[in-house]
Amino acid sequence: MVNALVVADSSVEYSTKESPVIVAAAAFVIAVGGLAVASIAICGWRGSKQVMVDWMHGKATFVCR
Amino acid sequence: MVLRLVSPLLVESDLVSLSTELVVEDGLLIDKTLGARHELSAVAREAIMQIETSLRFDRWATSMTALGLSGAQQTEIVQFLNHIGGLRVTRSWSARLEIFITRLQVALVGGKSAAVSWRRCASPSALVVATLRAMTGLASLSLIAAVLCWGTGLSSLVDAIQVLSGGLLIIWASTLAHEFTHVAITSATGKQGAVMQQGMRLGILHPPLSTPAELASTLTGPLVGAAVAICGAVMFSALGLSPLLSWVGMAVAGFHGLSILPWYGDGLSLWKLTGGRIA
Repeated sequence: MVNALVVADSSVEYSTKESPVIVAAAAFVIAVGGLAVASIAICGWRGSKQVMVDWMHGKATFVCR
Repeated sequence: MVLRLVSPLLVESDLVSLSTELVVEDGLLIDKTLGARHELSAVAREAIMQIETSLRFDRWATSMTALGLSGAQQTEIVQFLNHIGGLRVTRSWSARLEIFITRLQVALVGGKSAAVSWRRCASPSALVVATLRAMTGLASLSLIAAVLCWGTGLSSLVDAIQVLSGGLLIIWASTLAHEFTHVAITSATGKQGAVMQQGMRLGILHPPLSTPAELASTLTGPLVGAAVAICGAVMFSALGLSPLLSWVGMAVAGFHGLSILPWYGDGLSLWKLTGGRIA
């Protein structure tokens, strides 16, 4: 007698050989995009000369033209 | 307007059917690829049997209600089927736009969005389609980031296009190689695997393998993926394209290395094989 609607077969795992590459790449792209947005906000459209990022301390320095 | 904190998995107009890799037999939902035998209650069996042929989701929901299933119970069945990649969903472009907007709203208020799983027998063509599907969101994000980077004035338009297209090519080719290695090793043991994609998540489902085969699959998948990414970086460097592409290739190789951390499929397998002595 099954009380639950579905009783999953516990002998088989549905954990996949999952690759985090695409998710990691998306996080990286979002970080780069965020920096670009900040740079445009501070220096204007095509107004940046240099962006220096200190990932260890979470600090970014924007140099405008 | 009230924002929902959980986006819906299916919309009314979706055409839903049971994956061809699953079959309902004598109160059991049998996963032919993995050999799993899930027990179903009588009412769940009736509900699932209704999508053995394609059915609009609103009609399926009405039928399930007629069977006496509450909304929560219907959700439980749909979520279980989606978890094992058992649903095949055909969705119109207008419904896709509707879901996209809802997911965006949910993400903006910090809610969770569930994506429909896409599962097929692991063949080279299915792997190509699955990797392309998984990369759709990444490609859109990358395009936006490339335009923004050009907009800063730090990169030329040519550089932005080169890094965008070259970077996506490196990620696609290396991910394909990574997953194909898992499939090849599974096939070499005489077993059939399945490829499952859900949003940006992409993985291979397969029946249990012998310890040496599991170890080989776990280690060689990320290694092959990283090797392809490094080859891409070297190739683009040799072609004289943007130097940034070499760094992108190296970063992608590092991302493949992340796979062996115990939070991901490969790393979890390795962790279990070694009895939790590593990582």
